[in-house]
Amino acid sequence: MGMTSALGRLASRSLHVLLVETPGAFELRAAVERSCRERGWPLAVSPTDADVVLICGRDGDALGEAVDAVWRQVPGPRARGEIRSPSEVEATLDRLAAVVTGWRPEQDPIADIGAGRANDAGNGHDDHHAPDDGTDDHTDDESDEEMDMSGPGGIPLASGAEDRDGLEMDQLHLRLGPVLPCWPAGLAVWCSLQGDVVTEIEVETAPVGQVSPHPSVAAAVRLDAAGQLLRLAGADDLATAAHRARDVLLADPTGPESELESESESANLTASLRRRVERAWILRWSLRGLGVVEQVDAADHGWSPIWVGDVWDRLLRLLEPMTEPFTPVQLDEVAAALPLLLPGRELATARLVVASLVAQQAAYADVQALGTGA
Amino acid sequence: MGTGGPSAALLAVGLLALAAVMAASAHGVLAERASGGSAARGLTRPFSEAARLLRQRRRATVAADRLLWRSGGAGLGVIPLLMVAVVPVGGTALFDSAVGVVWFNTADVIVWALVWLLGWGANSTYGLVGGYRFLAGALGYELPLMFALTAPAVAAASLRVSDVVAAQRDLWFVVWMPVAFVVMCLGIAGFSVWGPLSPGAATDLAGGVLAELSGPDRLLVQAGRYLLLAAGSAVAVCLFLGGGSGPLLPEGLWLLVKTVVLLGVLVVLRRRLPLLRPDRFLEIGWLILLPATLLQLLVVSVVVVGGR
Repeated sequence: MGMTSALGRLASRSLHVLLVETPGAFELRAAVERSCRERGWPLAVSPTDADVVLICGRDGDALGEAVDAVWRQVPGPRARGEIRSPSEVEATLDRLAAVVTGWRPEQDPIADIGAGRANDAGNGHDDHHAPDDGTDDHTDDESDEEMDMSGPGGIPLASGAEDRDGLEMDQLHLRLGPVLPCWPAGLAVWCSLQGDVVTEIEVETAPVGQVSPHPSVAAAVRLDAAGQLLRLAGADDLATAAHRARDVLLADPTGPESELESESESANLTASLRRRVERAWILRWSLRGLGVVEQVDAADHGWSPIWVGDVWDRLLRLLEPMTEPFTPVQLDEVAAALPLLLPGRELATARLVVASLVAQQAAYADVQALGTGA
Repeated sequence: MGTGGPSAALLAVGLLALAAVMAASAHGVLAERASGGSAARGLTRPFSEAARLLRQRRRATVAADRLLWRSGGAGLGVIPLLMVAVVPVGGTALFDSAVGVVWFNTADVIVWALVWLLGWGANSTYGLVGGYRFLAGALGYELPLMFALTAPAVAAASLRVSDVVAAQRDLWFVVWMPVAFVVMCLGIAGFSVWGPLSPGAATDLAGGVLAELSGPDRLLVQAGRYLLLAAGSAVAVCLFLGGGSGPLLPEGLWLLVKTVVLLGVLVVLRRRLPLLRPDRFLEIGWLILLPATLLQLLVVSVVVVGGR
């Protein structure tokens, strides 16, 4: 027992947290991310990588299902919680850590998998998980033959479709979002994939929640978006720097003076981050030419001029000081543009493109809120 | 040079594990520094992560190809041991093969199959895409790596690693084969599925081949990646940095010191580089690295022939 609990204590020093942001809960998620960083808890990149699933904001019905699907993929020791206000963050994280540390497998059996639950994934995974005690290989195989869906484990076999060269090729279906790290809240994209190339998509959006129209929050949203894009691009240290600058902006202002201080500190951090990003020539080389939006296309489709350029241009734009209000872009406009922008791209590239576009949306939606509020 | 017994094997494996843990800790410290945490927390990061994965329940996807999936993971733990077998430690190598360089190259090519099996076996989209993406990236580093490995062998007129070390008594090969050395370092990161050369296990694919791995399976793969990094570095030290040769200290210690320093450099570079996505990296690999390595090989060959 002593050994087990020692292992649990050691493990609790680096719990991996999967955050679920409900629309409008940006500040809450940022507060949780900050606390996790200070505790040395990494953010999980997939459900299997997570120990803690934490919902930030009100748990909508649609999201509830997606969260359940994600939860079934978390191996355990695991804990699940919900946070509704920034004041709860520390206590909730402590409580969840205690749950994970004291977790016993017999109290938390893995739910039996239903038959043929294809495409019921919250995080884009094929959501088919079997309890694995290493002994049930044969039963799995035997039950396959009795199922209607003919494929292994009740998963329907891949259907074919013509690929880019007009040849028949298998198609896979994958859902991105609404629960996915470094992915905008309120967006879900159903992708048809051939190999790793996105061929067709369908977009769902949830109603956008209200983010505080405060200028420092608007600036923080932009830094957050830049950080997520950098994280996806594999530039972890730059991403952390962006999120630290964001957290300085969002730090609890105890008075007007400290708020000014945190704004100027954050402005300095952002400026130095921008210089670091501009100097990162390998990053530039890797993001240049991705997800290009031509001026003409933007005009034709009525897209925001702020999208013009490639992922790199849009990243730099996020790190510019916020000066004047721009024409805002709504999540629905992003949803309308994605079917034109994603097909034909690699899955990973598609994620970079989405991060670069929706980031702008968040930023400029906030600027609009500012304009109408003033 | 002789072939070592069980004690030499234990020593080699122990040193390899030590170097791998040091690299993982160094990485933890640098990551903590970037996020403003304490160095101590970063230093112990490999241990807390290992404890976490040891406690974690083993979970599998439906209709996973378990045999192949787990062979992929287990293989990644075995390959680094095969690699260090040809590294001469303190005068003896576990397996002082006459074709040690080819042996090492073979081992690193097996990683192709293992990583792909990891992706395939999980029966998940991210895993499969990650597996193929790894192969695409591997096309970029493997061919230059193969030619880079031949440069020291040509200069030493032997494929035996201990002969290559002996041939560097006067001058380390890195001095006149810098291109081959750089390519070797890229290759090490590549077959370790690590850092900028880990497109198959990257965040933009939700972990790719790692996306569905949990518990001890994941621990084995993560440990295997750092062991590969350490084993690759040890071989690079033998091929380019004079192996265990050096003043005062015993040979084994020099080898360890050089390996750890090289690992340190790789870890520092890793924090500074973004992911090299295969669609871009292939250009570099085939249009720059490959011709440059061939040129390097030509220079080495001319020097060797001219020096006779």
